[in-house]
Amino acid sequence: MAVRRTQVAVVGGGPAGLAAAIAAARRGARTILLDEQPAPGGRLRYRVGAVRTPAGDVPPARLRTDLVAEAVAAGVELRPASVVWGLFDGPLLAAADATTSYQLAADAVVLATGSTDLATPFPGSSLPGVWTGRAVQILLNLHRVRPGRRFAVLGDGPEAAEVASDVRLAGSEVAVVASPGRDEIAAAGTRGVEALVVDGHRHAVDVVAVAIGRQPDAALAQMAGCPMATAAAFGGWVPSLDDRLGAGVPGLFIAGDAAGVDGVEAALAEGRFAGASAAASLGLLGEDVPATERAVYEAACPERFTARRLLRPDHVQTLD
Amino acid sequence: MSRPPDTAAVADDDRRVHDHTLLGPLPASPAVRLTFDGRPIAARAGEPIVAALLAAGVRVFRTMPRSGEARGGWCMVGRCGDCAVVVDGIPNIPACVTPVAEGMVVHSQHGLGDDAWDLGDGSVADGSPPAPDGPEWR
Repeated sequence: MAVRRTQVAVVGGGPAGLAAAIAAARRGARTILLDEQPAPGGRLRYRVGAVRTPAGDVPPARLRTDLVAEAVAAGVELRPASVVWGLFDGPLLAAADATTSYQLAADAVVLATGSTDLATPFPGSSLPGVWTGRAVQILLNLHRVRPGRRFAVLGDGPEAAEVASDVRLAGSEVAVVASPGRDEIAAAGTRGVEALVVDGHRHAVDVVAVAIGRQPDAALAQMAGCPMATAAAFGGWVPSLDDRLGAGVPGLFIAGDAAGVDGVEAALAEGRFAGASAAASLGLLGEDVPATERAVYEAACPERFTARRLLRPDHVQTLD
Repeated sequence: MSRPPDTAAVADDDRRVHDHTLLGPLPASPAVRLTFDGRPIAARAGEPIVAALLAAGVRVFRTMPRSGEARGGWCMVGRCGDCAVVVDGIPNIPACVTPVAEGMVVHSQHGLGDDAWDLGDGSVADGSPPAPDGPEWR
């Protein structure tokens, strides 16, 4: 199997990964960004509501276009449709695209693998027509297809509110919003959802969007042997990171939702800091990540910065 | 035994989001033709198989290995396996992240799709759920 080499490899092309790749490449690191989807952008590809950035609220599509242009201008090699399925000592990535399977040896790796939607079991929850909230967003906003005519949305947090809003923006109807934690819920139907029964009341729907929250997707970090910790503020199991976002494994850094579910602004700031840390680990920044970079990161997401410090490996034992 | 195509409760021709409040009109896209369980499906170039099937009213993509229960997608990011289908004779293809192609032959997958491998003549068996006394994962 072919082994390729690079200085910095970034896994995941959402806001955190793009920001990390830009930060590393601008400091002179030869940088490759791999993303399993057909185009980079992550959540910026399928969300439509404005997202908060340091420059103000912007449409996700515009932020995505700007970030990709910045990455290309900085010299980042973008590899969409590339699945990274393994992370081994080195760090050494195992990757595959439509035509090739290969290993990618990097001096530093930034994992920005994002998050996945939480599932919750209820009667009928495996029926066709029950989707994650994000799946509904992808179908309506990216592929412009309605998975049905009348929607139920499950959840009582910001994810559910956004999905319900997106359903209406696409011209479809939200028949009911319910919370699995509060209401008794069952989906009914034979070969697909025909109704959602909420506390005994039957609502005729053919789509149920489960938007109860997200969890970090840190599978590659776990595979690499990173110390993990659980923290409700970060959405579950997350890698415990040092003050450079290093993951306790030489050359490995983590940023964005994979290191704790949060908004786009936090992902951008953390990605940028992780990219700078990766470049610093190559000796491209002298002795250390400049204090200005850490200050920018802390200022952009102070609560996350503090929570992150409490999750550092030397604190993990006492936190649980 | 072949099943009739499963259609969604949506029976109208409005499964495409032609006009979106923020995104505007649906951009033009070249047409791509594929078949699903022998039925012709009109798709838009570049979209994943799941999008084309939903737009055509298909709602069930596979059945499960042991229970035989219907599944119709869940995550849309290639993770969960609920949309595994047989594409041009190859089973376990995640339809949510696999783009359509002209002339693509797609079949619903039953169980693990083992039956799809054995034919070798370009056709695919319409398998039924496995026997209850079969091996654990067959």
